[in-house]
Amino acid sequence: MRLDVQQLGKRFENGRWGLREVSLALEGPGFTVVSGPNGSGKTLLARHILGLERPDEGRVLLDGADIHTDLREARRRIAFVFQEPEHQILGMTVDEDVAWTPSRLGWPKARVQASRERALQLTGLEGRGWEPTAFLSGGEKRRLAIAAVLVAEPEMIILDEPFNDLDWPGVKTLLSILLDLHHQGIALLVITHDLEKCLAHADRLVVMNHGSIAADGPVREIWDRLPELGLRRPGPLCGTLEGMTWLS
Amino acid sequence: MAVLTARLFRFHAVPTWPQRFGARLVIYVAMTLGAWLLPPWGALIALAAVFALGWRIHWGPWLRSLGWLWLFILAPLLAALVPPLPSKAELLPAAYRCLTFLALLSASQWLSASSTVYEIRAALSMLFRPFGRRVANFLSLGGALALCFIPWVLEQMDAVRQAGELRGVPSRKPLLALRALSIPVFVRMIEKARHTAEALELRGQ
Repeated sequence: MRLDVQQLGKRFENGRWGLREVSLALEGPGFTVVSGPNGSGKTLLARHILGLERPDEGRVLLDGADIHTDLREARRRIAFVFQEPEHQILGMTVDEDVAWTPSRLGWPKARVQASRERALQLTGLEGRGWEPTAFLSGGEKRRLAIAAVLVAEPEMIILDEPFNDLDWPGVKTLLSILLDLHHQGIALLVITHDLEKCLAHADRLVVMNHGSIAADGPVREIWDRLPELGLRRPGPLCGTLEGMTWLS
Repeated sequence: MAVLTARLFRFHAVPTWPQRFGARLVIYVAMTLGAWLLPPWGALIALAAVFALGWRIHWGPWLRSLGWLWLFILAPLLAALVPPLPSKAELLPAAYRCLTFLALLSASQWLSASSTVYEIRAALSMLFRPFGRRVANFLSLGGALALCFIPWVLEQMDAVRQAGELRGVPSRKPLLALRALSIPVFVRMIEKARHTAEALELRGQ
């Protein structure tokens, strides 16, 4: 899969640019982190990639074709996990929520069942399909949101601030799940402020500022420039990139 | 709030006979009609059936929880007791009416306590089936979303109420509290509706 964001521009009604000349190419199962200050356009970029917004300039191509030509297929291939998982839970039970997308895609029952089992297993929710979604904890809801997008067998998952409101065990569990998915060949695009929680595992960092890309490249290359890009580099105890993992 | 949600939405129902929701619904309608149309025997039979079928329901706490509804149940009898005191022949119809009200409420409690929210939603979906699969699916989707939406709204209302209290909104003055709480709750509801619409779009609806 190849995703090309070409010269993307979005201007708000007040004349301010939300995104300006943003170009980005993502290919294969990479682990990319998008970071930057509040209001720098990270989520807006994701919304354009998913076709939730129409750009004023530029376009988003998926394998060479504009995503708006077949939005349904594009959204199956590129999944999105909301910042607040609560927003995307549509079923009353875990099973019902996970089966939502495949049943809308018209998959046969056996395929829905197999895919649901796999998604629940990957997110550590196996055997809990009967549970009402209203009673899940914050971390469990986030895992459910991932299971619910995973079930449609996407090639890329975009996660918006996935580590928000999670305690240490929650972050560890989520990070393990994300790394599992990454190793299985699913591309990850993580939008986050919490660089220290995932940067050690990422292979690419995109830093946004004022709606434009301020830096883009391998994490190691940008690591030393983080403070000048307006991002805090984690403190002396985990000053090296390798020592920053939350898994240990 | 989770307790309130659990009370409003029964995810786990009290086991009863018959197990099928449709059969219970038929029995409920029969009990209701019997209590209305054939007093006092219809009401008495309905009450006996309700307590026999729903013996696992905790009836004591439920009867106590009726609170001010007892006034409504006993209203015919209380009205008949206004001096000058009536004769036995005048009192009996009033007592039968009280019995009917109690039977109707008990039957509703039996159906409600023994049914999960899923059964009720499935029944609604069945009800709309004659209008076509598309309409039934659309209405069932609306029902499912509404049922997910209500616990969230309750949770938000509670959070906003607590925040309001901490910021000096007097909880003992309901009108003032309502004015202070309505805007944040309304804004959150609009936000939630927007996100839900986007989630539906992204998840293939």
